[in-house]
Amino acid sequence: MRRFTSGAGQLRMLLRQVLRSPRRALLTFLGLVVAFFLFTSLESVLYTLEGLLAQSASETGIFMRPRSRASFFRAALPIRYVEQVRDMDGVVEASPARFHFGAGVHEGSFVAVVGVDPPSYLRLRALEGVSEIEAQAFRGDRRGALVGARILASNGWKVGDEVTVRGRGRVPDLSLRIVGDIGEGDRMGRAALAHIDYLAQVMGGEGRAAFIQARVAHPSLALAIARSLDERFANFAVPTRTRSERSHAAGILANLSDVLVGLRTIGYLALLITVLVVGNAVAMGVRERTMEIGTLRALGFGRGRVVALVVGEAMLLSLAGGLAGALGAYALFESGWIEVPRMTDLRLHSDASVLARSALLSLPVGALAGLVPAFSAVRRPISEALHGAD
Amino acid sequence: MAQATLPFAYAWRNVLARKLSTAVTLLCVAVSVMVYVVMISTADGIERVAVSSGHPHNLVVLSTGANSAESSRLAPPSIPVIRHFPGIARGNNGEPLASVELLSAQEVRRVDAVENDEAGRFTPIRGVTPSAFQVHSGSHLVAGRLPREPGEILIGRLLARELGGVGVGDSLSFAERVHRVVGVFEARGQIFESEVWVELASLQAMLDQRDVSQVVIRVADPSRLPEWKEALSESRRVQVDVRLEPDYYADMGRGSRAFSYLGNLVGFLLGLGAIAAGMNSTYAALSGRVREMGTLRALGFGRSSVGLTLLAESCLIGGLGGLLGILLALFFDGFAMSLMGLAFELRVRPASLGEGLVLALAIGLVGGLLPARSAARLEIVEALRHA
Repeated sequence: MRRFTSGAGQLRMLLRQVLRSPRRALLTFLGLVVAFFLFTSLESVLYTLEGLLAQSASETGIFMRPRSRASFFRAALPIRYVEQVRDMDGVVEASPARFHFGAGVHEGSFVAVVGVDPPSYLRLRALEGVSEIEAQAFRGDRRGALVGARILASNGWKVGDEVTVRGRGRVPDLSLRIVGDIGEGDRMGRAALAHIDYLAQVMGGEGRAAFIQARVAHPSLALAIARSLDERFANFAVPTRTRSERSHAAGILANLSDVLVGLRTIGYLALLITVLVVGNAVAMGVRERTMEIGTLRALGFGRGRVVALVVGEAMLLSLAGGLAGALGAYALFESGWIEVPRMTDLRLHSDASVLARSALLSLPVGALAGLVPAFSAVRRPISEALHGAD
Repeated sequence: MAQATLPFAYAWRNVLARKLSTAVTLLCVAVSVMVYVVMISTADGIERVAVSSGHPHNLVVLSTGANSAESSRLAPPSIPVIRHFPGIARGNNGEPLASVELLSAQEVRRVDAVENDEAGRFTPIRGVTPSAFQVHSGSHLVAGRLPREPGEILIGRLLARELGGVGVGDSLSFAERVHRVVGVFEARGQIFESEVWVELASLQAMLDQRDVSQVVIRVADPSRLPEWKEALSESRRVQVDVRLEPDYYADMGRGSRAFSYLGNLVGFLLGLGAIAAGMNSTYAALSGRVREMGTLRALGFGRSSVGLTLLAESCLIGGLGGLLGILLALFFDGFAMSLMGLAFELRVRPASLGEGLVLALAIGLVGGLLPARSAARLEIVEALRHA
């Protein structure tokens, strides 16, 4: 009996039970792999979407725009507000920004240019992949631009090039000198940063910004500072509406909520079905071993031990399949091979936390699947089981 | 001697004999089919809004260089030039069929949501004149009346549902103000049903601007549409870009393609899981009936008919699971959803149901193929000796 009580001995026993019908074990394993692959994939999609928003929402960031804005992209906020925002107690830095949308090298291609004030913008946030030399070149060159890696790649541009962002219709062209590239992972990796005053000179609307972003000294100050800023500008020509970046991101998430709920439901539905599939496979095995289980109990194995044996078998199988499926999805998403058609700029990826959560979920899935067959195995009287009554 | 075939009733009774594993496989197939059909229907719902929005005889006039109404600004002096451009159709009252519109996206919340400080939905607000109902064919009031004074709004049918059943007399908050719903309108499933419509002048006052976003015009002679488009774009009196209204909305279909891609992928993966479950239970059915199979062979039933009966059982479960999945998917027909400010209804098309059923039968067929082959290969003597 001792060899059954040691940990290694029990594991060997469980493994033997699982592999007793190799074909059934393999098919159940495949079912588990597919379900956990799907679950981890959907969780990775959700992780990517939520990450995109979280990345754009620093806890100390606030975001000011005209209260009565008709369009998010229109430059309507006086740039002179920046000084007053900066002077507010608790504000560390403030910087204006505006947008311009044009076309790149190819007909119909799309280049988003964000006009910023380089010194204050670069103090406000660090850009991935931009060196101090590049930052300095950007600050010093009025026509200079930091361009996202994806835009460089799709247009065949490189650092040092003089390029033209073509305007549609009668909108003038914008010529820029690329002084540095922004890393793909940065949220500006899909945009080009230019000088706001140069952009205004070419496009018109000098002294105006689409929004002003600022950083406050502590997250707890964000709400109070946002309120007092709006009060200060309430009687100005352009009243403002200031929000924390967090609440702005929450609004965007709310817009996607139906889709997020839908994807999450499908993932959990797949796991629920898996519980049934594994449960059914284990139940088949238990039915085939009715006599053997009767013998075990006759030899002195208690009900608890038999239940543990059957549940353990389900958990072992589930852990193996869950781990393989979750790892497969994780590797696929991290490889960067997956692209959503027509949305090539949305690069899906995963994370170790997603992998760990999926893999750990395989244990309760296995436990749940094993419970019903386990109890049905011990409910049968020993004498009946020994006769092999089905 | 012609080999006898096993009756269909034999397969049916066997399916019923193993209730638990049949039920599990059936449920797996049903969920796969349901998820597949619902996802394809989501894509169809978005596509339907994109395709049905816009009238083929309408032109959308935007400011030069603007990609969308959101970034377009037309100054007041250009509006009469566009409205009275030669070739524009006229309504019953002799006025040109031109809808002057201002568009703005605002975070719309129910008043109770404001009190609880919940996040709202970004919703398109369209400032319109009464001619909007004539230019945007198919749009009409289904309840209430047109707004008469500032603070009164109309709400699209789908948006009203999406916000949890907003009706005439309810209040919504946006742009720092509370607005009263005085009417609900329908627009034959077009994008307008996910919008709030306000009097143009009220929205201009609310946003403190005199410019508008776009003018939508109906041309009198559709055959000369390209000509008018060209003439307006080239006009020296106004600086505008002109697009055909259906083309303008067709871009929205982009979102639907991501959904059908996802639907196919998820359907395929869930289907694979269902195949594994189905194969498992068919193999179990076979191993429990080896002797019976041997007896059937000894009685004169051929290899193929023994194999086929297992395949029939598997397909039967697949088909029944498919029917259950279709029934479950039908519950979602007409379900209101929203995606980035676009409200739409899930539309379960008969074709999607057909595709779901094909998926179910394919699951049954693939799941039953290998066990059926094993059954057909059984040797009579060995099978009869099987314990």
